[in-house]
Amino acid sequence: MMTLSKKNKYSLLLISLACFIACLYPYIRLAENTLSLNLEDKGLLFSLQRVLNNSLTKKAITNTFLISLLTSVFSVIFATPLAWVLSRVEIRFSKKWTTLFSLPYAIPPFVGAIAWINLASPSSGLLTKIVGENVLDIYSVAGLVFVLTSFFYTYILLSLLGGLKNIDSSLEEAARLSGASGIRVFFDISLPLLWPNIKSSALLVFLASAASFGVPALIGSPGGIYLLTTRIYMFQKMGSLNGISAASLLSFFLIFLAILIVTIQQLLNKNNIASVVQGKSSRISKISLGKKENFVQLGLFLLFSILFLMPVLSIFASSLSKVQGVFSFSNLTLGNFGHLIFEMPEFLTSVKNSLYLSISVASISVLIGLILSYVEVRTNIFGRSLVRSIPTIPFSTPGTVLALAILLSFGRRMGNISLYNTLFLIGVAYFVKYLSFAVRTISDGMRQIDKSLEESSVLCGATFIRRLIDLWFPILRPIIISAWFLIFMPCFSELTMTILLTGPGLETLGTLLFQLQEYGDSGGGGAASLCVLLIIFILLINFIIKKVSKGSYGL
Amino acid sequence: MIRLINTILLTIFLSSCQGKNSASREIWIYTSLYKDTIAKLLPMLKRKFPDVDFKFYQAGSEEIAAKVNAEILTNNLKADVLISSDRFWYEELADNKALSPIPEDVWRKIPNDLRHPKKSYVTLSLPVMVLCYNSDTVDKSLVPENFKDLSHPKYNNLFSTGSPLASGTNFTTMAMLQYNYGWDYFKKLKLNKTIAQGGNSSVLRRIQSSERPIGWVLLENVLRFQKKDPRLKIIYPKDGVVTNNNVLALTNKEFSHPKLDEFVRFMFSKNGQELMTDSFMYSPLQEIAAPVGAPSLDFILKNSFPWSRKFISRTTVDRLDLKEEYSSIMFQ
Repeated sequence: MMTLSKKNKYSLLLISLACFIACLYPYIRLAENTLSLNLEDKGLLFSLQRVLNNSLTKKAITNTFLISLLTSVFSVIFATPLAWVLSRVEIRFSKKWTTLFSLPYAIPPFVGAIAWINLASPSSGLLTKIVGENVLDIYSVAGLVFVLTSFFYTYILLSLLGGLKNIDSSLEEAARLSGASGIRVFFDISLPLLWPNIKSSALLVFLASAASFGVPALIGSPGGIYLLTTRIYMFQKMGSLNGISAASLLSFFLIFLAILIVTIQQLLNKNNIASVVQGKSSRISKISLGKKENFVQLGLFLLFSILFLMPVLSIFASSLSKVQGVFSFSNLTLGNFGHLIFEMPEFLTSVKNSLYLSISVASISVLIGLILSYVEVRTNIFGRSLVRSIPTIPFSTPGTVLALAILLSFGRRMGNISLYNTLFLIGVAYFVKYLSFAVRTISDGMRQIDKSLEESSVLCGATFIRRLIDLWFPILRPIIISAWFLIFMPCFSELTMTILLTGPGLETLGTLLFQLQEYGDSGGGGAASLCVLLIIFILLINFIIKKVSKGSYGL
Repeated sequence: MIRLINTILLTIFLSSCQGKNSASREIWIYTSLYKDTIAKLLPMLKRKFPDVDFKFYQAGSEEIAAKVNAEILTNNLKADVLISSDRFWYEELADNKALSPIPEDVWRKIPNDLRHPKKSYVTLSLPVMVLCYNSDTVDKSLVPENFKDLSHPKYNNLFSTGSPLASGTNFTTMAMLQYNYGWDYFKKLKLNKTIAQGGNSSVLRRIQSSERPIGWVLLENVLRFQKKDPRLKIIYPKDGVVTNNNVLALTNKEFSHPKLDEFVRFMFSKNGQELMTDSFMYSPLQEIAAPVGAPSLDFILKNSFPWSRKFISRTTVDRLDLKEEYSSIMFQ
């Protein structure tokens, strides 16, 4: 452990404390607000009963559990064999396929919701026209689970691909040499070894589904399927103080759910860590399929087409249509893009705001993350382990709840200062939510670096700042860049928190897209055009990261 | 170190919060007017008021109501001018003394039933809720004649409306139909799997894409698109159209911009009112012609559900209960 000067020690303590307050204070205000619930002036107990006994609320709780559970199960069923094929079967372009199947991880799920409405709405979807009416209905539990699965399976896929890299493939090879078929090897060897990863990432998918807002709002609500997040939004939009308090009350369900999931996940990790990592063989032995490989290639192409290509193409088609729902060459236009970019002042504002927020939040989070990681890994300050666990709480809290808590905590006017209706408040929400990414990524990296390096620099007389600039930044550069992009990407198109915190002049790409889809765009091409621009931008960023990092980072 | 962090945070804070100098030049207008109407209005305002920086926040009327209520609750009111379509909310604001008076000369120009008796608000324009269908996909035998028809089971999976939780004109229409037909009407709409989501734009998009080829929607939305999409057909329901009030009000703020009254006068000038009719809404002023392609205001007023003081008072008092009850029926 490094010895620090008193001044540096107090500075680090102060920064850590400020972060703790930013992460925890919103929950206190949220609880306080819930306790002020007073429907019909009949007190708290009556109000709690009234909100919780409401049939819509009960249904929202049931729906949240059911849909999250189904999404987790289907994501596991889909991602597990896919990860195994991509990692253990000898197929051409396996790296390209891995990249392509990982792409939905970077695209906001509500873009997928808009695309699937175009494709599979009950009477007018492009696919509905092919397969006939009453076959497809995107506004259903099945539709909602399908769209969520088509994005959240990537959580499991990426975790399993990592897990498969760590499993000694000689175990599988030995089974094959003993005469076991590929399928038998998968079920008897690979699956049991991957089980801890599957359980842990399935819980993450459960939590992500329960916390999601865009897909349930666009697909669930028209079909009368409300989840806790959309019910909270509905309460907030009732426009009364009691509505906000009722929303706070429901938020606690999601908080408890998040705590439960994180606790189970930690228990699982504790119990299973030894069985996952079995050492690494020098070469991963792959199953050769011979001519059958063509079938696998075709299968992968079909899956990718359904999951990604088709929805993206439908959005492209919609963005190029003069009139929605008419398919002819004469209906093609680039006018929707022109209208969006040149005639809609909110477009430039939203690009500017999104870039401003995502760049500044990513940079500050990484800087603070570096300092907090230093406190955790390199100091003996009392309570240092809290710098890792406390930021996990807001990270695990659904965005809708966190935004509401932040609004209640920092939204009130304090003297002449008001953070309400400012980008700063949205930035605080993003920072609190994603700080955990920075702390975890950087502290993991810092642990791998020998302390002798820093000791030598101290002996040479380097100050704390000098060590940070000359030692930690260069050594941790790839990890810092990775953490920066991990935060930048979700912030750039964030919707769940921003929709509750946005205000005049504060449009972001996420909220503009939601507004265009729901209210402000009669022609219908504007939302699709914005989706296309967003997808292109995200793919471009991913391409740049891969190029710059020579394939180490990005999807 | 702490100095470095402080400097960065302060820079971000200052650049993300608005300075007082810019605030003193700004007039914030929260409105449910469509983006293309705002796009036409903005250059006119810039010409007329070169020293004022007009800022718009556009959302559905109920979204604006929720936003302004939250701003009032947290003592953070930013809006100077409100223009949206939920007249009952303005009644509530007027009762709570949250509005400043409209200039006397403007208030006098507006017919009695389209203004607040104590000058708290005036009607800027009259959006009209009608029925619309897609002639490509709706068989003639299925074309409804009135709102009541839509509760018939033959309209299963065919009909959509906007959400009264998002849009003021949809709230008004819901309140008017509930007042006249009761909750049973909505229970039947629910049985027909009616989609009630978003604003009027999303209803029109559902009609165009034939996802739900019939909808109740504002006349202005259909007229805007009829040239581009002649499949859109308008029905003036025989049981009555629902006339809405697009209301203009000034908020009661500690610091009120000196040009606010002039702005209100401009909105009720010939130019301002013609902009409303260009956007296919009716003007409350007799001398301004009806929008292109729309019937006369007389026809609309003769064929609309009647507004009464009793209806206004009941809806103002029960506004939140109506939303709750509607949600429990339609959003199950």
